[in-house]
Amino acid sequence: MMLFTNQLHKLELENKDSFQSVQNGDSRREIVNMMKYLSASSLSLYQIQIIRKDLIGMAIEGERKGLPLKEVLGSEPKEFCDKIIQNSGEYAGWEHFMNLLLEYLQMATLFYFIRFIFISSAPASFGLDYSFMIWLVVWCVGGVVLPDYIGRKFSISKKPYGRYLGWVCRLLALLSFIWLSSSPLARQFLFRANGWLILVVMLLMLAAATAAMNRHWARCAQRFPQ
Amino acid sequence: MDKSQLMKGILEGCILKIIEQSETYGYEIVTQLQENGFTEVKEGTLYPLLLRLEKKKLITATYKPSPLGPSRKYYTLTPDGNQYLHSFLTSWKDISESVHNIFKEDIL
Repeated sequence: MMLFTNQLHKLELENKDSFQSVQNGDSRREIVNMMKYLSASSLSLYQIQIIRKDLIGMAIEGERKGLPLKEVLGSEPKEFCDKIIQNSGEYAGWEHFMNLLLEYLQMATLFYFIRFIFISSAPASFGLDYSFMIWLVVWCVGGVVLPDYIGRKFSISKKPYGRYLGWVCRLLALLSFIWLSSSPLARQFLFRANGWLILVVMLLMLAAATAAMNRHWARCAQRFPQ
Repeated sequence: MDKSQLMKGILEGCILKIIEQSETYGYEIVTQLQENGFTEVKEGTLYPLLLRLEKKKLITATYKPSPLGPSRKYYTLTPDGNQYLHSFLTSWKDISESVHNIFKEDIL
């Protein structure tokens, strides 16, 4: 069963529910920004959700005593986050990479499916064309890595406009899909094969990657306090 | 004088001692520290230290339902934590005796 259940997602949903109980607007904003900042660190994604759970608990208990979260913490959010990163002593960079790879595979499968089913005129003989390969790189850099970097830079910043830059990058990366699909590169194939076979292989890869990550999250759930 | 360097190692020992007395949670630990003179300690100071102690397997944490709201994280001392606490106490006695000897005249 652990291969079919994503424990990280389960914890995220629990946190989302309990986050509704935080009434103070400033506390809510600080928790959101701290999570963005921590998400760009090398901490395990599961541990970050545990920290989120604890912060929500602190915020709610603080509200009961009439104190905002900042006063409960007694330090600036960025300073608090830096201390956590320093004291956790954990490096889970590979976990971030695997999670990114899974998201990337999900996006690639989805867009291949869209192109194969709705755009191509010869579905039996299809393949991976240069425009799709280029778009995958554009999406990786412009749709994922760059917005994450910008999000971190501006998450605990007093300048709100910077936070929207990430969304602009994602939008441009998505729009480039449409432009590249209609470019001459879309008719030059890296390799051709039976389009259905490629789709099945991609779906199998996606299923295997998802099962592997679910297994990892199940182990994290055993390692961290419940 | 910046007390943070002095506090770093001392707080860990004090936190372990409080947890040794009974299973407890973050706010209670902060309250006990403040009542015993560590008035500047807040949950923000404590939380990263508790993470570090958990990482070193000196304490374990479990969530328990709270009657007042979200579940609380309770901490207990591990056997390694007990051992660390005893060695901290030994080191603290040695150091405080040496410091006391040097500052004897100023203290008296």
